[in-house]
Amino acid sequence: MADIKVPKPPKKAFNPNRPASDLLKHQVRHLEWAVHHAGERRAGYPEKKVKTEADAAAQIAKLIPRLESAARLPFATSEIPYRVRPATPRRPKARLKPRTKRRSKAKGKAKR
Amino acid sequence: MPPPGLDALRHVVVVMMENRSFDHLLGALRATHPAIDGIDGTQSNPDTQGNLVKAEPKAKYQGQLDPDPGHDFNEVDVQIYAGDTTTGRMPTMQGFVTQYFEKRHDVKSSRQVMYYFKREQLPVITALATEFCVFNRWFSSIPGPTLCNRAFAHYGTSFGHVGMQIFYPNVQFKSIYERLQAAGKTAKIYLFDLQSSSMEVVNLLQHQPQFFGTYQQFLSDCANGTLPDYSFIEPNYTDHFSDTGAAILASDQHPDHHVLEGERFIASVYNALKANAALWPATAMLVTYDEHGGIYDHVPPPACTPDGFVAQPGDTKTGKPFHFDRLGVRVPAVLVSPWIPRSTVDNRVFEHASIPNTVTALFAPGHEPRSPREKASSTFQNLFTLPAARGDADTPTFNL
Repeated sequence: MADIKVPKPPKKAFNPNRPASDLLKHQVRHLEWAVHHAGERRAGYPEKKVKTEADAAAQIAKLIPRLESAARLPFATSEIPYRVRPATPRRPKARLKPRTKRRSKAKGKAKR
Repeated sequence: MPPPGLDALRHVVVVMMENRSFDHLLGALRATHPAIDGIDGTQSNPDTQGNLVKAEPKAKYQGQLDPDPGHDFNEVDVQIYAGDTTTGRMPTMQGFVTQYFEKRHDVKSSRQVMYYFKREQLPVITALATEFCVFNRWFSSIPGPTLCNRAFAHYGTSFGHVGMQIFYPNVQFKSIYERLQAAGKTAKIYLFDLQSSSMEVVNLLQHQPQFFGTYQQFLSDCANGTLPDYSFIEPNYTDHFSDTGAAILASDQHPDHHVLEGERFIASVYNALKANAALWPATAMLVTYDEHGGIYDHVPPPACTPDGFVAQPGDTKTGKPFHFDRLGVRVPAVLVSPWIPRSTVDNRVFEHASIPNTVTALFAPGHEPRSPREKASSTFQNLFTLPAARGDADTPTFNL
């Protein structure tokens, strides 16, 4: 079965200034709630308003270390190595014949 | 005697994406695979001017579903019942366009909620669906938003919630992760990275951090042969910059995130599993979506076993209580394993509670108590029916 090519999205697809969805706003709200103690929740605490996805990502990254459980959480972040490929055996590449003609042309040019 | 594939099964990996309906992603497959219950050209919805809007293969990767289509409980109620609130109403699936109109008050853009993808636009999910098993009747657990639906995947219930509010689980029903731990098995939720984090903040991330890993760790675990018995993978929920300043695209496919990045994410999970020759035949990978995200699907959600909880009218915002006795809108669900025959189509009714139900049956049999919904849900461990695993050359490989 031939490999199935999966195209990359265009660069313009990346937009950290996109307004944060309700989902992200809730995620941030839940984290803010989780980092406050019961007394602070009762008294009320200022909620940071996130407007964009970048805001949400930054606020999430800021809040997670404040969780009591943070020491037991994985903190490493890194770029995703999407190019993981199955270990399918590949055919050895056929050796190319030396391009004698082109080389000789190049030599000729160099002489000039 | 169990089929050989089930006997070989050591790992289940679930990838739960965001907010796309079955017809939206897989509806086009009906043209080439008639057993797949997708779009046949007759499906339509009325718009606010009374014109019929047909489901058409005009979906774009990005830019069409902005603002986000409604998917709160009361909004999905309109989509399913077309605004009918009478007793004895029927789920007609005729209210998607009119409900989306409420978001922008623009008739033209409200029609875009009927659009679905051409097969060639989605090389990954369509290849997996046609090469392995697609579920024709996998429904979200609740006609509502993300968190309550995801809770069904983790606990087999949402403990009476139909929205996005903070809740603590009823200690009676343990998460699938706790069940496996108690049974001497291993389980992990792999979040994408720190900036994306998890949707399971209050219940799991706050109180059970031992169950978390990063996506990077998932890749390492696959390569090193240290994958847990059960893995739940969360995609990246935001466009953000990495620690090194690289642009990282959201891969959850939540509108208006680019759908192709989600395709690449699913393919990267698949490739990581397949890259380990010992892991691949011992693993089943399920790809599904938490809910439909307000996007059209033509199959009415069926009634189901009540959950024993009741959501109050103040929470449903429909003026009526909800007894958790009807499923949400249908979502894509694909099961991948080299032990599954090509082009398998399962017509039984599934929902997200099927995940803990199946994983419990496999790795913690006999665990009780479990929610009534979970116990009544279908399981998928009977699908690994081939006498021998398909070879590498007989299953797709994605070139990223």
